[in-house]
Amino acid sequence: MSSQRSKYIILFLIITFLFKAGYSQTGNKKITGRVVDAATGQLLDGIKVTLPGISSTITADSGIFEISVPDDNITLRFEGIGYQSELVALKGRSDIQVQLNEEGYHSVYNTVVTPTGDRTLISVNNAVNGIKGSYKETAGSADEIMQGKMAGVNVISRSGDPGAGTNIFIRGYHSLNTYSQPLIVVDGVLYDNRDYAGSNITGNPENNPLLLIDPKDIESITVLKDAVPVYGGKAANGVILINTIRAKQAATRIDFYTHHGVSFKPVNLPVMEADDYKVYLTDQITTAGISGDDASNLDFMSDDITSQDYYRYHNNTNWQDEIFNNSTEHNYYVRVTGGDEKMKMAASVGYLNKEGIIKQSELSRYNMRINGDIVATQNLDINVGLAFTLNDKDLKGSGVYNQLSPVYLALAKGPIFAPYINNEQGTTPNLEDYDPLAISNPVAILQNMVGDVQDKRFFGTFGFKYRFIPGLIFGSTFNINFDEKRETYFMPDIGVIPTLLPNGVADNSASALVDRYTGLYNDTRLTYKNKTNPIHNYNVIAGVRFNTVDIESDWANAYNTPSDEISTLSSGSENLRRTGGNIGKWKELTCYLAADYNMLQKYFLSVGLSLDGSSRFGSQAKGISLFSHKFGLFPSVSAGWLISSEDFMSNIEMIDVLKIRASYGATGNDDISNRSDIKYYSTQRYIGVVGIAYTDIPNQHIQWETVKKANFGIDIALFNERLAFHGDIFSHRTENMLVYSPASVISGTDYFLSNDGSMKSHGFELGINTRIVNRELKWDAGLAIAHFKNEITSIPEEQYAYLGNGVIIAREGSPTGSFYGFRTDGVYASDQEALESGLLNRLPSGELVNFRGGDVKYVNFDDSDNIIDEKDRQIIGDATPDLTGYLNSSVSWKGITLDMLFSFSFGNDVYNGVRAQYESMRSYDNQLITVNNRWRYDGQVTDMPRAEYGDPMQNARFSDRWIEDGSYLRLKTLTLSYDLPVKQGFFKNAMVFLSANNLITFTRYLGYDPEFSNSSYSVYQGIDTGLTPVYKSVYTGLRVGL
Amino acid sequence: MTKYKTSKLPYNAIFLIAIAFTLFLSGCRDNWDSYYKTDDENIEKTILQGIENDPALSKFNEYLKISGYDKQLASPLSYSVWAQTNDIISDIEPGDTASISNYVGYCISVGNYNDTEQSRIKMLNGKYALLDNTNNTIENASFSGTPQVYQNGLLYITTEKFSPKKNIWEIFTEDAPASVQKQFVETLYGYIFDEENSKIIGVDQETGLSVYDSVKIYTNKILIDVADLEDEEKLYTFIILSDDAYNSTVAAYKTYYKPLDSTSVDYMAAYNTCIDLVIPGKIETADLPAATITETGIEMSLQPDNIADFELASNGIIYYVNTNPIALTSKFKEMVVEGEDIESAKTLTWKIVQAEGASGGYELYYEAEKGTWAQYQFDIPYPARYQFSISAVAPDTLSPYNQYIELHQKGADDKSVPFAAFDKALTAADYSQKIPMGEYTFQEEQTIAIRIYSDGDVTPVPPITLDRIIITPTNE
Repeated sequence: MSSQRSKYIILFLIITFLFKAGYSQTGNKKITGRVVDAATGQLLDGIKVTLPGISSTITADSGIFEISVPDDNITLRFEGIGYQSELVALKGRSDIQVQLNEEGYHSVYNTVVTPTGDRTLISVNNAVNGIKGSYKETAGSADEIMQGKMAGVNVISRSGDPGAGTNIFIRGYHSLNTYSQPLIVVDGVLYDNRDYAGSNITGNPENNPLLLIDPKDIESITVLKDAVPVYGGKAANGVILINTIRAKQAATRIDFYTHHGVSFKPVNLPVMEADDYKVYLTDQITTAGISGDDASNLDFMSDDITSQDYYRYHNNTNWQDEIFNNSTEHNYYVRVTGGDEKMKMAASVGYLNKEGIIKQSELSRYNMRINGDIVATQNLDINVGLAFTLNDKDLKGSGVYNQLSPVYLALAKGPIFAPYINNEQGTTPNLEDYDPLAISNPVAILQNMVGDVQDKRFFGTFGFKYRFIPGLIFGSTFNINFDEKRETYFMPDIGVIPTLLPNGVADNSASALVDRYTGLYNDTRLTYKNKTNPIHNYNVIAGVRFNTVDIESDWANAYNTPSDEISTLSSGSENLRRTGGNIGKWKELTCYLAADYNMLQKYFLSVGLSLDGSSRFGSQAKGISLFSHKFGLFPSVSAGWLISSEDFMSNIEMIDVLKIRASYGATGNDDISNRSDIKYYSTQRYIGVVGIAYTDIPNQHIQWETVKKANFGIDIALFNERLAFHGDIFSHRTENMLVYSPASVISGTDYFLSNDGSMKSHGFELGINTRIVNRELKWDAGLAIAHFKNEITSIPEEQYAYLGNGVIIAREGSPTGSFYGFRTDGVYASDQEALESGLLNRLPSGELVNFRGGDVKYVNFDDSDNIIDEKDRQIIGDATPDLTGYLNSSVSWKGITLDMLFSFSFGNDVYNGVRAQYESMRSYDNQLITVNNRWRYDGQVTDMPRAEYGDPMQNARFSDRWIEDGSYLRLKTLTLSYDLPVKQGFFKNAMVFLSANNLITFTRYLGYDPEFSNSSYSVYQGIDTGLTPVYKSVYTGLRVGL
Repeated sequence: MTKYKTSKLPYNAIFLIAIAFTLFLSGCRDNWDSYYKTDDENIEKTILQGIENDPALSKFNEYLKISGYDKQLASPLSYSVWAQTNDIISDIEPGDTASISNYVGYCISVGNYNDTEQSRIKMLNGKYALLDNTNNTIENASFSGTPQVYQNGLLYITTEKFSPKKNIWEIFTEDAPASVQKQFVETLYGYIFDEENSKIIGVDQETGLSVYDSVKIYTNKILIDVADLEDEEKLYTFIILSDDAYNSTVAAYKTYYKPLDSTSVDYMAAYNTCIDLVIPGKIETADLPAATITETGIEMSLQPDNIADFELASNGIIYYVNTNPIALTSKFKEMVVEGEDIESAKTLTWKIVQAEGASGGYELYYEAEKGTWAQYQFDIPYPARYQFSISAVAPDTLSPYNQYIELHQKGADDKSVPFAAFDKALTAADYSQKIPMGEYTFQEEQTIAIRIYSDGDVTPVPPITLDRIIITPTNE
């Protein structure tokens, strides 16, 4: 309590000092100066020079200006058409020279969107990044355009499936068991980005609602990384503010955009060809208990050309070529903006067609958006926004841990088999059924599987602002958000292995799934902003936000339709049909208060307070009780000092900007289930009888996770911003972290969710931007790096997560995403060497057996015995990168611009689940060519263990054999564009571009691609389950403005 | 228009960064090339190529081509080859294609055998070879411990010759000296029903048994009834009796088959002599146990001093012996039906009770009235005269009393019909005593029922007590 009081006293003293300092230097002075072009040095006329709310002037032909100001410590604003706005502190000077860079220059004077309004970067105390929408972007979704552009914002492609989207981790991980994605706010409205229904399509990670926003509709994106006001209770994972297009001018403008591209199939993984596979298959069959003689007489092994099946089984099929293809992409977009002084509208329509690199997979998007701003009366402004998008995806599944995924099948299926039935006359058009080794035909799946996912979202917003008196505004925003996802799925009989059901065998299967999301939202706020005092600037916001959401999911599965041509649910076997569903509802109420203050544009202070309540919180949760519900309190404070605007800096010309800033505050994560605090039942079937049973252990104390964030930053700009540094160090501490706590043995379950964990993380971000050449040819470059480390500081019991045969441990002192497995030291060359090790192998049955030549040498960490078992597992890798970041370069000359963006990730371990699957040598699945080096005779020195059916010695268990360095440096985008010299007339502008994505990747990783993300949860990162890989693509595009 | 000086940058630092970046890029390389590499160029070749390229194996290569196995060694299966060098196989006649195929086929096996324990592996010629990876021998011939690894398997170089052996049956029928035993066995050839290769074509409406298309194969009855001594996969120990041993055995056996006609007696004696001469597994002389059990379940005591000679076969070992190692008491041993194995009784009041000293610790105890019986089923194994005895002790509360047995067989309508009844005999003082009940000569193998009664002529009727029934073939 006393420490809190001390904080208030210090705050009061600072404010008092700042007020005093400000007023002590007031007066009326004349300021003169010149404004020049930073690149050419030419004096600029027509540049507007203002002291907002007090005075303004325009530079004369000679670039000279004169302006009266009340104080020679104030900051003037310079802005002109085609030039970057700039704030210049007088620092006691009466004569200044100002250099203006061209519009779009990477500058601290750029405007970003914040929860309390638009601000220049230099006036923001928080750790924020902002990007603007661009017509050069070929990204398909809002999240993709953020990739590799902001330090500390790790935007990882989930997979290469069309529209798969990304997972976004801002400053790492803050939670173990909750959704770890940032809060997204679109045009001031919460934008739910979650997928509540799941999918029947294998390896289809999650739906991606951000795909419903056409990137061309995006005007700006701001990422808030530290504690921020207004959104405190939902901002634990950071906040992304997206503003969509609005008409700025009354003049009518029409923009047409199109791009067309080709995506390239990945480089095939080197699996064995037919000859090597048959040799491997012989080894596997003979270790499965079939004699070599019998093995050689099997239909698919026999070389008897008179056999009727000879031609079916003597092929060398490259199955990866059968499922991957180069694909095309087409995008069209039209935007119209304009209006009059009373009403401005921005409307757009777009169409995207994107084929997947998996054959027969595709995405089509149809989108439209209308944003209008109406001046209803002198004091009343109204804004509306309507957006409707339809995504139609045809997916085929992904990943190597499901037997019906094309990627799995392409790698696993023996090359001796063929997609179509072959005979001595040649290839027939008839698809092969699944092969004698019970592996399905991926071509049959690609051709006859249905995986149609339709996602429709209506996002309608209405808002108004009423000015009571100058500076005092009452505003409110209403939104309705309706999202419906429909999935139709059919897995055919021909070519596909039957599925074993609890009560039968399914030769084919059909399913339908409908997921509806209905959200109602209101944000009402009262804002006061002073506009007349040049010394003291402040604004205060008080608001209430309400959000209510209903979700409903319904699904039905049917099996054994009469034929693959009939795929309707009603035609399935009645005995096997199954239905189910889920409903959910939650409400949130937030009261918030935010205040920003600055004096002389030098001293900045922001405070915020957010009181967040949710129907999800337990009735006994810690917090404030209001309206019979629990509320969490999330305060924040930030301060900044623009040192470069001080008088004593007036003689240091090279320094344009030197600012230090700090922030501290609490944020929350309310991603807990809707019913965690109450006991509920669900229907269960047991021996043919249906009853109900407990489904959960209620926890009335369940509540939000609290992430306390501290940030210290510094911004430096030198040589008229030709060299700029931005640095941040941060420390985050998660309290009340949701963890699985051990339950009482009489509860009938092992664990229940509780807020008994904690975590901390810290790190830094560093950015450098420079204009290397600033003449007619301009060359800009930038480098940003980010580092973070986290550590679980408290957890009731070790927690394990499993994915793709990998094990992830969460325990005190270890970071999130720690791989937990065995360490290895090669392969025993001989039985003698294995015997001399003195180690025994504990098999899953509990039996202890001796290791033999050809077995993997596992390190015995538990020296209390000589047994290799689960007690010998160690942390063998960490999925968290040591460094992430980007490197960019932009060279422009006479309208020609070459942009390059490299992104990188260093020091992150990856569990290569693909290699683990295809070097396991435990089945008849085809394997990687590396197994040609497998141990074959006693005494052989090799690093590849023996091939043995079923892997009885567990040589393929989760170990460091499968952990790889996932570092990479990637040329993320390379774009060459040309702004055509258009005479101002019918055409206002025109631009053509040639662009490439993911053109070059430098990595030692052995999988298809080092960039993937299985889950939006932190613990499952760095696990490569063989999802459709991210691919290279090239595009050509055109933008025309009328 | 006046131009003003604009800002400059420290270019040296920029160039350093650019150089460092270029060096980083140039340091990247192809991942799979560095991850998957092998110094052994053989891994890209087939075993056949390996043999062709080795001058020391030119002879083996020549034989490979003659045999046609060269095509297999070029094909993508996993092979293990124990190739023999020119110097040790020079004596093989190049013109004998069958022998060469047999020989070369015996050097190649499908599969990879890395177990250090001894194992028998099937070779391409269908025969098995004993592989010992610990001592690097195959069929006791040494080979190079470190094989050459080729794309389609492993190539071992043998420095000692090994060649395929005949199996027991081949040796017995083709190479073994003429003998009375061999002479008799050869008479056992004929067309025999081959159930394995016959197809079911229906069901007999009366018996309910399957009806086959009755494929018959020409083979020897010993191979069907006793053991397939041609089977290369299994191992056997086979005994060939000297003529004296054979004849004396047959003569002794004949005394048990008296009920038959002389032809049948001769056949039964000879056949029964021959069927008991196969022991499962290959037992070397040094490993012979004091007693072992034959394929027909007869105890045998084969000792080294009884062995005149032996011969190794691909599927076992053959011993030539001077005396039949099977004692008559082993062949014609008593058979026992336990009292507790009761099949049926007149009433359900019988009990199995604990009885100290009884066989198995239990006996039948049946409170009886006049005419009460308990019945046991028994299969007469072969025509002979059998003596029937029982082991039975009166309860402590009673003095010894009489019991007797009857022999029954199925008559019309499955009714039990008595065909022999023996005299009454008193219960014994302890269970070790056998109480002779009577003898009966059976002309054929048959299933009989043995009924035991207590003395119904006394009052009160004593209970039936029975520890066991002993049936002993007799040659008297």
